[in-house]
Amino acid sequence: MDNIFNIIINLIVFVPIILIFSILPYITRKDIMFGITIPPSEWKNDYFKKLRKSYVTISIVSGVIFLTGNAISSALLSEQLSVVFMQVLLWSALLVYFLLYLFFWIKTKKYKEKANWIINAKNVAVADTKTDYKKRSLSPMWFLVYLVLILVTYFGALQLFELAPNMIPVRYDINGDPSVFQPKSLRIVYQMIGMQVFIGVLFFIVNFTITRAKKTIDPANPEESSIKNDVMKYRWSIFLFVTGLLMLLIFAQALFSMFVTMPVWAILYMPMGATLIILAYAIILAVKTGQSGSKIKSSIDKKTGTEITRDDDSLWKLGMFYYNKDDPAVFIEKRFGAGWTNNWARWQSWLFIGIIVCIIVVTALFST
Amino acid sequence: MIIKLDMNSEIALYEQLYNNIIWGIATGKLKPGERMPTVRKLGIDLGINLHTVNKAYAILKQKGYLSSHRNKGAVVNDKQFYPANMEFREEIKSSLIPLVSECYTRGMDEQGINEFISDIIQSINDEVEDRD
Repeated sequence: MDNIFNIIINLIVFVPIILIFSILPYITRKDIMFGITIPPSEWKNDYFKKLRKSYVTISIVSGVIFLTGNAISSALLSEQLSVVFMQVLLWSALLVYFLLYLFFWIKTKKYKEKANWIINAKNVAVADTKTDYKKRSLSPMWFLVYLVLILVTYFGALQLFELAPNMIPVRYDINGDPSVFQPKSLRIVYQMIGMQVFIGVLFFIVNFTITRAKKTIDPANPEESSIKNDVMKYRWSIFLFVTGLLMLLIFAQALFSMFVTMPVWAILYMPMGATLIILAYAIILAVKTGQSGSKIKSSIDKKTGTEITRDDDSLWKLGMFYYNKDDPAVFIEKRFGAGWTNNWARWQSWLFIGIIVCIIVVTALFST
Repeated sequence: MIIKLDMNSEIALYEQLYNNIIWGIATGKLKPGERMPTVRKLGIDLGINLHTVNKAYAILKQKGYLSSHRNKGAVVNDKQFYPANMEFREEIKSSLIPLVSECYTRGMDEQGINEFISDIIQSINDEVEDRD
């Protein structure tokens, strides 16, 4: 039991990281290779095919090394030590993936310098005047479901609180047996509801921010890419709503499990199951939708251009950090892979990252 | 409607934006009553300074093409708000004088110049027909 649980934790932590980094070249637009703009027709040239292949191979191999290292350490080391070791491995894995990307970014950059591609980047700015948010965002009304769920959790917990014994379990061991007891108090209810409110508000804000973030449109194909971008945002909007909902449910379950006896499997595997669902959902969504919705099938036949129509490499430091003083946008689509990042030339980006760091530090201080 | 600005052009960005929107209204891609994106939204999507967008919007409003609504932001106006009155005709005429005289200097005759205008009207009509 002990070992199986360790292996599951190990897989849950490392497999998503390996997957997320390994699929990167396959969800990106065809005109960007490791953060460098290329003619879409070059995407399939032998050199780039080889480059992508070796990136994925190295990514998976190093991921498996980290995974095995962690598995061995959790078998040999004490529980406390192996937790620390896992953190170290996790951060090293992220560093390795960062360096790996950098290495392939440099390779692509060098290749581009030698290649005689026609750069027909007209340096155009493109935007769609359509203002219909319904097409790119789930209605904010959906988030009322969160409110209802939090209220149900609150009043449900108050009811169960009356029935609960005086000593309640607050922590479980890996067999699903309660290991730490505490005298029951309403404080725990308020804490959990507070967390739920925080998560609810957070997901609402994130949904608002990404659906209103800068729309990246391909100047060579503006109408179509505008529609794809809307579809892509709408899908992520649904994903965010579902993810928030699952997290609220996990917290509700954690709270209820203190007051009523729940089956072992529910305590052990329901949070894990929810985590797996969220991760699988995110990966499938990223692969099916692609960057800026580039994987969405369209009715229009698209010919792959032999020219570079956008050449903004210099604005992307190290192929991943966007820095453009002339761009008023704070949130923009990532250069490589699906998701959003910041324009680091805007002070709002630094405020944003500052707030996130503060939240992490504060929660870390409170939980110890 | 898709707005396209050439960042390397000699024509000022606010002017290009203005021209884009007028073209949109002429071809029916922007319909009366249609909401325009906010200055902020359009500036962010285009990646240009918000003052530039603001300037274009201000001129469009001043000339009657757009108007501000309390809840909706900028909205495309009905045709009656921008008639081809005397004042307008004078203004257009004076801005055509240097262009026409330049053509004339280079030996283009009346027919040649008229052909230009017919072509432009034709391309507007083509866009309109594409919509229907």
